[in-house]
Amino acid sequence: MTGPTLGHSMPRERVVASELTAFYKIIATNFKLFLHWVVLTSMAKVKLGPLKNFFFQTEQLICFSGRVVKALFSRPFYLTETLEQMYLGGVGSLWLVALTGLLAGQAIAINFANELADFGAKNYLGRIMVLAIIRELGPTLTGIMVAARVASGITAEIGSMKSSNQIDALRAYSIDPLKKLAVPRLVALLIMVPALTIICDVVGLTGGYIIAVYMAHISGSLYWTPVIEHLNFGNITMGLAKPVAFAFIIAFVSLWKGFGSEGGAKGVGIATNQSVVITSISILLANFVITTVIFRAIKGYF
Amino acid sequence: MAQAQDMIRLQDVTFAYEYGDPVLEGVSFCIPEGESRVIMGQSGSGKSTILKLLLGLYKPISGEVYIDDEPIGPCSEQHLGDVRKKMGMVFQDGALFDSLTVGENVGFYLIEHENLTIEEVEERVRQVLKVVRLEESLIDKMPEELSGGMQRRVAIARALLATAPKIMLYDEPTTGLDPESATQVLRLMHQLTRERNIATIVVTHQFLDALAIADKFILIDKGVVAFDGSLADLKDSEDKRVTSFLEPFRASLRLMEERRFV
Repeated sequence: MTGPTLGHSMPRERVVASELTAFYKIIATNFKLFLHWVVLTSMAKVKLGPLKNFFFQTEQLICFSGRVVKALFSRPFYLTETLEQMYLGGVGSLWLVALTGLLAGQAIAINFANELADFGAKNYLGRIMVLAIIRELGPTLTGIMVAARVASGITAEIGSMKSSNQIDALRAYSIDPLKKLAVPRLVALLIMVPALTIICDVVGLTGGYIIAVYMAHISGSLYWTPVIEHLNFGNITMGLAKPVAFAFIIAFVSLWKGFGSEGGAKGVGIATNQSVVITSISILLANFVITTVIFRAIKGYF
Repeated sequence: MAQAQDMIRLQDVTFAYEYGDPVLEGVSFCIPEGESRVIMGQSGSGKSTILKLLLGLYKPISGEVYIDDEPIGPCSEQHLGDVRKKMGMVFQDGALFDSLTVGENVGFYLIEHENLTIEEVEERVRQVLKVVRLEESLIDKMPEELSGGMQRRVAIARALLATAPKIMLYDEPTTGLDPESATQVLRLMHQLTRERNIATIVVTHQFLDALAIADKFILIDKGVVAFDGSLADLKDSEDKRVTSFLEPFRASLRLMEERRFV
């Protein structure tokens, strides 16, 4: 036979109180859960919205890039348009890239010449210049300059063609806009960005030479000998791998933003702005990644 | 008398842009050869979308588009190119390629697709410029050097030279033009429809221009066909959507009927 239950042995008031306590506990626990839910949901709304959008945009960019690459390997190939784009994007950017290279090279040379003079190591200036310019500044500055000048132009041109129905008109006349507009620009950039980088490197090193000879009073041979010695496979590979990657970034982002622009002149303006920002940041990010990968592969660092 | 063959047929077509509500729902109509049809409706009602569906630039969610009795839904992009040869499209504002001259714009299709010499292309460009009543001296001008009316006529010439079309599609052909240029463009459109026995679709929200050239009218309201019939039926219609669309034009309707070419 079972004994009396706890409830039976307790006064009525205590039973009610304990039941109320249990009820409040349930309410409090559930309210806590409710609060957690509210906080997590609002956090998700605040934080996951942009993240989700970022992944969505990245997916779209990758798909678009894939379509452009596919179009690159199919006929017809528009040679005239490609040459025209090489002229507009490459030759048109020449003075800008050369000026940037010259000024950057001179600024670096002034800084290092002064620092190295304190240690009596001015003859290392050429060596430092070749590393700074060939590996880093030449490709990056060229990439940023071309991004600012050419990427904005590509996005604005394609965007305005889209908003004025010219892209649809191309398709209506059985012309694939990717082959006609995107591929020539991609090929032109793949040829011209490395070429401009080489020009930027040469002009930058020459700027360093001017400072070395006329301000730091280093002999020309003392400057150029280490420069030539350090133009080895690793430095040249890094110096030319980067502009190729930057050309892909500039072409894919600017074309994607141009073809995806919506909403007339305002939309084209927004797309152009985004194109330059995304391209510039992507170039700096890619520069870091490529430097890390090549250092690991060639030098065995990291 | 044998009934004219349908050049264009839309059968229960529904279309929506990505992640959006349907723009068109269950749209059906057909247009025989040599007949012109004006599609009217408020801005954003889905008029221009119909033209892009006809060109195969967009694919409907459901239903089918037939061009010259051939369904274009299952067509590959390459085969769509052959179907599009039957159609000439004049886009809103002309959509001339602004990096090309008038001659290069008009001869664009021939330069891209036909194996002709520059002299042969130029000769055919000059011929078609005469058809649209433009001076041959304009051949080396850039599009921005032309007036709005001239740009539309260049766009018509480009469409005519491209494909010798059986179907002409016009998207807002008179929007932004002065009355004289608009009349010239409308007269040219009407002449092409009659002389070349072309099935014509004109999309416009300018009802008074539509009156000048249309054999029949289609009114699109919120993505559905609110009316499809003749002018007499349109005027007699008691459908609220039709009467509210016609309301602003009642006063000038009788006056403008005198301007009709048809």
